[in-house]
Amino acid sequence: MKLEEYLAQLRKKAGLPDIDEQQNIMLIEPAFVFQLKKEGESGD
Amino acid sequence: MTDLLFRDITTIHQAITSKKLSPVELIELTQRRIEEQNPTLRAFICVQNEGSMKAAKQAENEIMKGEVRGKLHGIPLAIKDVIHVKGTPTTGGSRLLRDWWPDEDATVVSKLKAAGAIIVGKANLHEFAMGATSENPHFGTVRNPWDHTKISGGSSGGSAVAVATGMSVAALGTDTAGSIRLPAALTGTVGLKPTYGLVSRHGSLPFSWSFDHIGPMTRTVRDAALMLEVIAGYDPLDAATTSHSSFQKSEPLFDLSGVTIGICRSYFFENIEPELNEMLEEAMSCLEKLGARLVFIELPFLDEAGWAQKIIGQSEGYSFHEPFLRDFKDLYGPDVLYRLNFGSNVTASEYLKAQRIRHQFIQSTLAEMKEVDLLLSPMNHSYAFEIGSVSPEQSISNMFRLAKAPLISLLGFPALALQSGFTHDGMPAGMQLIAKPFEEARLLAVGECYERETNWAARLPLCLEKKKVKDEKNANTRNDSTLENKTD
Repeated sequence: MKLEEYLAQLRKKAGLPDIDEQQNIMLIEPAFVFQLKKEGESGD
Repeated sequence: MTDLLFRDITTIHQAITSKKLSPVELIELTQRRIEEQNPTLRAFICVQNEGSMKAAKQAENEIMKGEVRGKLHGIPLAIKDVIHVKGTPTTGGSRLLRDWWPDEDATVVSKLKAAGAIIVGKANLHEFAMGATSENPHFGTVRNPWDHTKISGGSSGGSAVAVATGMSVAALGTDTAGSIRLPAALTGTVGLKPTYGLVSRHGSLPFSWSFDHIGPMTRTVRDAALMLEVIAGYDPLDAATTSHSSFQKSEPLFDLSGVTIGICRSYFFENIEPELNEMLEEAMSCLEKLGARLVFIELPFLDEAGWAQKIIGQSEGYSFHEPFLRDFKDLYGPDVLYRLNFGSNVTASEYLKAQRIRHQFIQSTLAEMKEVDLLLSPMNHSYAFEIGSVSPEQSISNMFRLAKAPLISLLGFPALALQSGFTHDGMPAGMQLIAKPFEEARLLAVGECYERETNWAARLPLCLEKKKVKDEKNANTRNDSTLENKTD
């Protein structure tokens, strides 16, 4: 089961309305990602 | 046979592939050890007895036919319970997710299974990996095997304790601010936080995307290198990994001539317990004796970096939990809830400023490390707390209070926690070696060379020493009765 499905199930059990799609996307997409470079590697 | 569970991976693997040791026998021993130790130590949330025995039987069949899958064929491993293993729930050590069963293995777990590893269970942790003690209100406190009244460190406390007591030969942990390295130091094991982006996090619960790392927890540095060879690599499902996310172990070093190690006294050696400082001084002498050159350096932006680490970590943590917190706040433990509330107050401006400081800190640290290969610092600068001695409000600062770990997570550089010795009351203590990004091969080779010289890993936690004495006594009694029978 995906996490967003689990959350939907929890909400249903608690008698809460469905979560909107936007919130589901926020659950799975990282908020910020950066990459480290090897020494001497270009930052371009 | 008790000692078998403390041999290194290579030795056990050789015994398995040369058919001197059956994977089934090894799993039986491991399960027995878990049965004996886990009720007290609470290292596991979920034990896969049936699944691991099935995998062991399959491994035995394959090996008998000469089909060796990889470097970990038949090796029992524990997986921190924020990492998905198909067929088990990923609770994150929380009440909230205790019934969440993900459909797939995490990338790292797929890699371990492909190399032949056998997953014996999901390891306990600080709830949602958000704390340094592994005092878990939902699944029990992970106790330190060297002194059951003390914390094991966290958040990967269960993984560390499983390895320290032979409940698994090695384990996976996660490290966002020191969660692999601190429990390794407090339990007398080895923990590696790899370079950010070297190991995929796909299929693991996030704490803070900018800082989350998955890494090996083992009894020796050599085992950590072996595990890393298996789990490192580019993964299109984790945007932090890159085309150069690969690792190959280098040839072992038998002296350290040509290796320069930087020591930054300010910050890293501040507030350190005198006894732990003495151990570090001895470790430095040992490294010098092995041929390393020690130089003293200063790192800029240390105060700002500490602030940035907290801001980024807390706000990203809150961002992930926000949809759950709104309606299920009462399912969270009090210290985690306090931490998340702190994150909810961070402004966008503060977050962006913190990311800019992070960039500056990385660039200036790389500049200061131009002439050095590695940095050395204490791992834990304080002793392990008594269980239950810290309030939920204080716990947000526990990692800073216990260890010099969080700033290295901010850098994203690889860091290896290994033993620096034992305290007056027999508790292990650790130090940390830090390398430049993607220079794990040199880091691990230096760590292995130091470890060979000190051999701290040969000591066993008290609970197992007692057991060893008892086992030997029983064996002697059995031998005596056998002799009596023969005499009769």
